[in-house]
Amino acid sequence: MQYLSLTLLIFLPLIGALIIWGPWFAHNEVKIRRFAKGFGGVIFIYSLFFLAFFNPAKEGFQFEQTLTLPGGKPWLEPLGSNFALGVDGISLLLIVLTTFLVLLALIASKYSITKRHKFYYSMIFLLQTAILGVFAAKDLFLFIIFWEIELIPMYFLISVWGSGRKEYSAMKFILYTFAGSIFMLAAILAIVYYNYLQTGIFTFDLTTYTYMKAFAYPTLLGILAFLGFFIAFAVKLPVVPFHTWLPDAHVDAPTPVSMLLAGILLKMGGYGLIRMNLQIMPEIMQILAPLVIILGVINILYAAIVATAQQDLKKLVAYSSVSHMGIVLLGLGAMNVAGVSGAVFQMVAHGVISAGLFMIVGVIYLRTHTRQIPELGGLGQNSPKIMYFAMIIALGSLGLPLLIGFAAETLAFYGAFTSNVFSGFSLFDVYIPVSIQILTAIAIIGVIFTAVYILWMFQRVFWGNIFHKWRKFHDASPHEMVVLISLILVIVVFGLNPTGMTDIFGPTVSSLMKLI
Amino acid sequence: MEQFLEFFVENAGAIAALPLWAFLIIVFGQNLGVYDNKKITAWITCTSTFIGLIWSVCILFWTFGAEEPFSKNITWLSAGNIELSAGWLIDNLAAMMLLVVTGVSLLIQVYSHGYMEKDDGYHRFFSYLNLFNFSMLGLVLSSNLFQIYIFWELVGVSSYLLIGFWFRRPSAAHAATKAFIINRIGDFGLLVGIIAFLFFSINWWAASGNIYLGFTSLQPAAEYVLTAAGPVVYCLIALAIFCGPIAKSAQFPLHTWLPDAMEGPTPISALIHAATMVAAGVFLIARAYPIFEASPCVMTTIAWIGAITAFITATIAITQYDLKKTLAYSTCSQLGYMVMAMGAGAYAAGLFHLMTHAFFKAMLFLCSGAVIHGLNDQQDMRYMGGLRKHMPVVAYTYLIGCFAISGILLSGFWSKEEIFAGLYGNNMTLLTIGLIVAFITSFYMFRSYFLAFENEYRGHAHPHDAPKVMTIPLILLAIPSVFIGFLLSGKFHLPSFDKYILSGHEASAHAGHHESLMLPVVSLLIALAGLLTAAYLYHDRFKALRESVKITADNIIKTAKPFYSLTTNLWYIDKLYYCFIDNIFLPVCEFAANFDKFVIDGIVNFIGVKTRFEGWFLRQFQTGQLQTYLAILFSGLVGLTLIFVALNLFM
Amino acid sequence: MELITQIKDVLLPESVMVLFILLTAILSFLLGSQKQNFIFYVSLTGVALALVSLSFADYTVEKQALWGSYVSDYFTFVFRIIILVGTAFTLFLTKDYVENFGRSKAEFYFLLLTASLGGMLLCGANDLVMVFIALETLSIASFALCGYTKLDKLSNEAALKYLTFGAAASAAMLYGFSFIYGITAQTNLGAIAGLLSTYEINSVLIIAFLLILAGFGFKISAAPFQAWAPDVYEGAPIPVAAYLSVVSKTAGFAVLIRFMTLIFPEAAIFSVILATIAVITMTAGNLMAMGQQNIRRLMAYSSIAHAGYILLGLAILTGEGITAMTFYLITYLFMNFGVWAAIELFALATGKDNIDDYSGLGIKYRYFSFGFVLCLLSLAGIPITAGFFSKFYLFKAVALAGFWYMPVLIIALINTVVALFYYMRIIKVIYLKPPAEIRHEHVFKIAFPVKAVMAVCVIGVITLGIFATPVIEESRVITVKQDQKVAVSR
Repeated sequence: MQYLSLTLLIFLPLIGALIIWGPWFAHNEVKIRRFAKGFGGVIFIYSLFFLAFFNPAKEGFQFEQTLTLPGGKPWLEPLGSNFALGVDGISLLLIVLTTFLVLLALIASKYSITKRHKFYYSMIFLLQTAILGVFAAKDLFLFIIFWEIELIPMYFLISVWGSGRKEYSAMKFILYTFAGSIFMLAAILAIVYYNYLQTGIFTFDLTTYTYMKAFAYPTLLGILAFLGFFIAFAVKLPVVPFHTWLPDAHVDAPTPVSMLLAGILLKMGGYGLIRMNLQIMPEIMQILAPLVIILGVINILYAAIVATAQQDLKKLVAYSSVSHMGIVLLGLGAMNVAGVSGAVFQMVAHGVISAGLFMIVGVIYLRTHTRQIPELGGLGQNSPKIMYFAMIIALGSLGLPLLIGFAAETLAFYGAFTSNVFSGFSLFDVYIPVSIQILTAIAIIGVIFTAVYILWMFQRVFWGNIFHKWRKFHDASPHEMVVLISLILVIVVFGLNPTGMTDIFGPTVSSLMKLI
Repeated sequence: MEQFLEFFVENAGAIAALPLWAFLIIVFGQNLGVYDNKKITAWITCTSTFIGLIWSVCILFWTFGAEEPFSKNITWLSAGNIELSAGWLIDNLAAMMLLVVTGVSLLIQVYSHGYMEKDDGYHRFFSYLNLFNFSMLGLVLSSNLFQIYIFWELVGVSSYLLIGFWFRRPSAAHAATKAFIINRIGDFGLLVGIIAFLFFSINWWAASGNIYLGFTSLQPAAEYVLTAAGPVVYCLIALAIFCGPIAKSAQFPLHTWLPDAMEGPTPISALIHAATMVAAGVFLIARAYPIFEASPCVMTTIAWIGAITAFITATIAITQYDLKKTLAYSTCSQLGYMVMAMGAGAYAAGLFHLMTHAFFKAMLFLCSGAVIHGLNDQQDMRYMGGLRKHMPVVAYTYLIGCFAISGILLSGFWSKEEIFAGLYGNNMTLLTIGLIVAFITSFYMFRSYFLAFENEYRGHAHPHDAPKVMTIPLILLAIPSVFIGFLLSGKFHLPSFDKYILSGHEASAHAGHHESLMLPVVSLLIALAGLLTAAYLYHDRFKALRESVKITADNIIKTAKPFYSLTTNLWYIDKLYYCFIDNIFLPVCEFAANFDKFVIDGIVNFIGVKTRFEGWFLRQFQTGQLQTYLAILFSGLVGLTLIFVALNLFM
Repeated sequence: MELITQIKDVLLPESVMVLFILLTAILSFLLGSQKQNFIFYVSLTGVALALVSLSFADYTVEKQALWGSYVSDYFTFVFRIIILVGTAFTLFLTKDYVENFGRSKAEFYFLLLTASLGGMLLCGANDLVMVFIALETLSIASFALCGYTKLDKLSNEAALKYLTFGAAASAAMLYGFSFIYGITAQTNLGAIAGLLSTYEINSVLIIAFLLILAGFGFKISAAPFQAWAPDVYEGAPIPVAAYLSVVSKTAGFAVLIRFMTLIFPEAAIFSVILATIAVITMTAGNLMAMGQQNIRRLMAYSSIAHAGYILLGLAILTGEGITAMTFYLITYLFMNFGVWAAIELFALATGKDNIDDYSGLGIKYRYFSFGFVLCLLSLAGIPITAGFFSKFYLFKAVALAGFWYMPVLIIALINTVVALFYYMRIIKVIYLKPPAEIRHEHVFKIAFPVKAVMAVCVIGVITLGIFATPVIEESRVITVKQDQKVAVSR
């Protein structure tokens, strides 16, 4: 138990990155890849130990760890900040998801990465450190640090190994996210300052701001700070209309990076919404929940409609990500246990499913060098394995029962439906009875649209007559099988037994909801 | 003996688990290359279903002695104030359905072994079949509304997979997608309905201690919801739940997927799209009957939807030349009957018809499959004819099916008669529609029989008879098709299906039976009239008569041109949908995509470009000219001075 | 005798510098043109000795020298360290550069030391006359340094522009001094502060403030006194550009801080003026840098933008703000010198200084590029580099100054996004473009002093990023004392 150090977990990937990047490591593609996979596996297993020793029934953070400077001073005392780490049910789940998906991405890198291997694998590990740091940070300042560190490796991963307008997309990604995060920075500074005014304590410690129910912000300050946070996470999540970086970044990124981007990076937005908006400012969240819900509904439907018209496979999957993230937003806006549980569940579910979808797209792209749906067709004939893997993942994506997405969607929808955050609003003195129930019902239409675009895509890509030029399309290679089967295993196992998942984060969510 | 039967009931989940195991064995056995023998696959499948059948029979016997339904549950998902369970509920309805599903399944699996033997995807087919069996049995065993929703979607997926079994055919792929999406529309309604119902009754469930949405306590819950939500909202909720059956049971206006679903292999059409899955909608209505019953307006809507479906699809069936399509529309029409019966309060009659229909419709489809198999995939009836001589077993069983479905003395007669009896006195309009449809049914069924099996052979392929493995299931299915209606009719001191199925539903009002001879006689006459009309128009024996009177099929078509084009165009419903998709839905999507690309992304890019432009603009002052720089310096200084001095004075 | 005490207690580093300035002058006569390399070591020794001599004095108490015109306290101590370290860096950068271009090397070192002396005096200047003299010492030496490569047309042009612009700014400042003198009839800052504390803020004081700001703004290249910077940075020898962007700027900030804390009371109007100028400066700098192709011009704009950020710390008129400024300047020393060292290294190797010329550098020279990129990221304010912490600390100070500074803070934050764009453009070229032909590869191997500077800077950037606390703590001591001073002078 005492050997489980979050600090070590976070910096293990960094160590891996340094080992690979340094001059001591051979410039041998195979050796690098083998080492990276092994190291990724070690990190994954290490993170599993956290899961094993995690006590879900306990409230608050666990595995807490604080690094101090020699002499016992906090790491960044003048900034009121500390190197404090800790996980609760939600973040631990996302941490394990991260290590898992990074491992799979490393395995998937075999065919899609053909140059500058040292650089690539060290960047992946650097990215992992940043993401793990975001999920484990128990300090607002630390959160920001890791949040922004993540930009650089992602920039390189998209722009060096990507395709198409990769430089444009990478730049768009980094600027968009950075622009979003500055609002978060301003919001953090504002609430910290307010706390300082009230209590005279200058601190970035997250728990100070969390479990203080009596700590109410002046409404205007609260709303502004909330919006500051919200913009940052809305860019990351992404929320329409801040989503346009995502299709570009996804389309141009190489397959493993797309997997990570959709699988984990988007979750940082959802995680932030829970950690910051919901946890720090539940009162304000309650006021602004209609906004969150409406944005969630727009996300679900708008992105689904846009996805239907896409000809590019990756774009379609990217928009489906946007649509699925709308469910997270909807669940969070519900502000009840079911809704938030659904949101958390959906984050994990989507993490696995979207990674699988991007893997499938990558597998196809590798063989055909095209992602245009009209140019594909009938691929199921030569590659039944790929087709079935794709089918299971696609069905998971559209929320089929007994696959992972279903429980998440149901919980989120139920949570939103039973939420009491608002029941209509007045506009120019006219009462518009748009209750949350009606909005949720509208959002559920999304399940139809999802079926439409996912199945239509599947039909056009895998079914029908095969084009002559894809006659030599060959079936999944062992590497791809490993990745896809691992993902499918998760999809099926937690689909059959959702309580296995909710048991981990359920108590955390419940204690979170007690704040309200 | 009691304890012996108890065992089967307590472990009823095994019935559903067995096909799942079979599915896994076949999938992994095939892909890991453990075996490659088609017979092993067939044996695994049939054995699992056969055990299920025996199990079902035991359960059936248990229900005879049982007073209380048996239920066993585990928590599947819980969060906050909801706790959703999964488990099984054994009562008379479930026992009946289990028997029908396993029985029909077993025969069809045996049949499929012959039908699919030469197909490349033999193992794939059987694995799908097992997956379907798992889902369907899970649905039947469901103990609560939420669990039914889970399996509801799973049967949808199995159906999707099986319709798209020959996915290389674009039409099959298209039909599969279409079926799934249309079912999704229904699922959407069902999900909304369930969530809304749960929303209003959540306190009740929490207080009562029953498993959430459990069928056994649905009635008090429905009453609670009715008072909590008010009649209008309650009506909406119930209608939303009814959306599920509309899609799954192919009711108007969402019936269009079912005829297209005939793209799948014929055994599938028999099993899924005739006997079991499509009947799941009716089963759901029966299960959630307390919900619908509490709201008269919903009941009326259900009845009318059923009636409209029965009528529209029956008229379409008249003009079909595709043998399977005819049967598909006939299925829709019969499902319409059942739904109509449910809506009109003839609960038992609807279920009775479900059961009899399952047998004879499965048999009819299997016959059509045998024909198609024997004619090398010829489905068009215009290229058939005279097949009775080539495949007598098939022809006679088909004929039995025709009699049964038309309601001429065989099993269909008894179930249909009960429906009419239920409608009689309740709603005469519906009864009239029902009788008209009975006539049409009889007409198009015998039309198809005469076209396919009588007269001269008009095709090109050499017809060959079906192998034994295919004919034996036909014969086995013919037996219940003939007798079951009569045996369970409750007349002549025979056991009564109604009493059995209603034993748990004393409270539920069912229409008083109209015990008179008039109705059965009228319906029988009507059916015979249909038979005779079909014979007159399509049998060669009446050719001379037709010629002389000059009333032939072609003449009628010419006279009733508008009606004819209406039915051949499927009442333009499909066209309307495609029109909607092509002219509204896809353009909207395109528009949204372009909006996203050019407007939203355009704004983002514009901000970037604007910032660059500002930078460029500012750089224009960096001319390299010293005088410019000094001008900047001094003008800036003067400007700042003016501004701040003014500001200070103002402050 | 008193003078000797003063020299011992207060002016020891300056005296060392004076000594070595004279020494270099003498040596340049004595040594032939071939042996002038020796002067480099002499100058370096001088700077090192000055640094060492700094440690002899006790800076916990405030001491005055030269009849009150020079003040030595902890504040001057830290700023003089920055200036001396910057000078040392510049010397290292100079070594190879001068060998390539220069003919009379001693001249260069002489001028450089003189400029630094001016900067050091500026840090502690406590009298209007002293301020002016120190500023002019710094300026005039800098003018000459700019024009050092006499045959280079750009260099000559830069020198001329710098000179003229500087003269204009100095004139404005002198005019501002005359206002102050007119009001108070004093030249000692302490005395002025005492008199002004009872003085009502009026237009005259504002005009005086703005005019004085012209002089200091010219040094720190704040808008609208920034126009000279791009041309001069582009034209001047690279070490000189680096020197101007860090050392000269630090001196300017030092005197500006002293002026603000001493003379101009905590009145809202001055805060508004400074905030406005800060916002204009950073926005203009960042916007103009966006489309820039020449890396030296880009760095000029970047340094303008950074001046804007730093000025923000002064605008909020809190001790925390000044601590933030000090810390910022310390980190700026490292990150900016790191970038300039990289630019010089590349220029020595290829003779080019356009951004596009850097293409593929990351593939050919991994470690060099890594250091370069790290410094650029630090300038952009990406963690875990020093630049992030200094920027964050500054913004934190701004936020803690009150909610009404929030709009300014947000503008500053948006500016960082724009800044990130142009720094990323360089990084993009370095890592994403195919490698270009680099001919003088040997320079990368030879130019050891430059590489040493770069290495030190990179290490500094990382170390300050990870262990910012002690340095901030060191900067904070000033705050306490300076706050006391503010309190006393009011």
